[in-house]
Amino acid sequence: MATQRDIKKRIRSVTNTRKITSTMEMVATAKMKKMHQRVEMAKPYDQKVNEILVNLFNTGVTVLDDPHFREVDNPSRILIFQITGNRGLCGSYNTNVIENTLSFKDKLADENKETLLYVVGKKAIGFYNFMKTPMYKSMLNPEDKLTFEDAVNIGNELRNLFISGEVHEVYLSYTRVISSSSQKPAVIKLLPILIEEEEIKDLYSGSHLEYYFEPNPVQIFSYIIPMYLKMRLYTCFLESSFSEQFARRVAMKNASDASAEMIRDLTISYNRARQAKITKEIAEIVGGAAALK
Amino acid sequence: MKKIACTILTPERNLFDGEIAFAVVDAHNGEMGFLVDHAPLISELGVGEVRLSDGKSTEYFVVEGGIVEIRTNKMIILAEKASKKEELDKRELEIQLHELLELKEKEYKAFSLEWMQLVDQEHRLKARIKVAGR
Repeated sequence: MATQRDIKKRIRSVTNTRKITSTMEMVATAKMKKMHQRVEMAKPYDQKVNEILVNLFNTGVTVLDDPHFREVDNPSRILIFQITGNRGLCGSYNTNVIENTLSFKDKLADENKETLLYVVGKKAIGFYNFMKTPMYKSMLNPEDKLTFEDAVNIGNELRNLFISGEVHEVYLSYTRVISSSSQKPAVIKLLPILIEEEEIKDLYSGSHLEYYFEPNPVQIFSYIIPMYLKMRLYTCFLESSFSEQFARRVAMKNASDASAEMIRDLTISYNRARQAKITKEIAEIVGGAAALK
Repeated sequence: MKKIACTILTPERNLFDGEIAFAVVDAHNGEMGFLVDHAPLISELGVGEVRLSDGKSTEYFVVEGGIVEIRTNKMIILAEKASKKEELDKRELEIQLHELLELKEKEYKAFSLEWMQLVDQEHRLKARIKVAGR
């Protein structure tokens, strides 16, 4: 049986770990709140860009000429842009995204399509290096330092790859925020741009206002399309960061709860050991006294 | 009196939200003014100043590229980047501009890619300085 001192040592170490995890929980909560705010801030902008896009469709601009909508008949080179975090200790957040990406990649491989991986996040880079999976490109996740300009730069890079014909399709693998308490890994198609028919219908049901376009609809269109792309990318980054902090918070809360439980159990066995020792000593004294008689 | 409900949005924040009587924006090829009951319009914006006046006071903003939409007295400016006048420090911007001009003169050949980027930066800085000096 463990001695009193061993148990005491363990209690101390678990207490220290608990201090760390509960601090991390608080930090993650603060970061999560901040990210949540940013996600909320970006929302009206995103909606408005969509709305203007719909208005443009209603004016009957021919979208098919735009290179962003050009679909290749047999897409064979596909880029997957994957967003994960730089750090671990966040439950299955990173593995979920990686798993999702890989199953998507396998699916494409079955169709004899070549896939390129563009990986964001230190953890995922480490994983692919370990698995010896080649990556097309990788970068660290800018995390809370992400600005819209970063998204613009990445957006332009992806766009150029697509327009130059180097890749035929671009997908985005990230963690989607369904509600503030539920997030799921998701893969969406970034390029060529697909405007869902439903979305267009929604637009038609709206007001049939005739807009004046300055200088002309085509010009506005060619401006707003890249904007739409960048906005998409930006919100995906934000949602992923939010999910990461959320996952970390949950993981750290679980760890803190588990260590509280552990401390309780250890304290009980510590008390037992102490009591057993006292009982033993008394028995020895009594035994000794009896022997003297 | 009727007013225009105006919002200036950037992807990172909501810069302005309020009622105004008159707005001037720097559109792609010159200034454009809006009064109440303007016809529905969507226009591209250049790099430049936005003035919002509520009849008494005027607020100044600098908007660096974006789109303006107005309809039924609701005006929305979607900017890639925008700042309020109060956030800009004229002196600091002038120093930046000075450094930039020096760099432009010395380092790069005219009409090279870097040079063009610096010219773009110069435009932005000048627009900011203009607003900061208001």
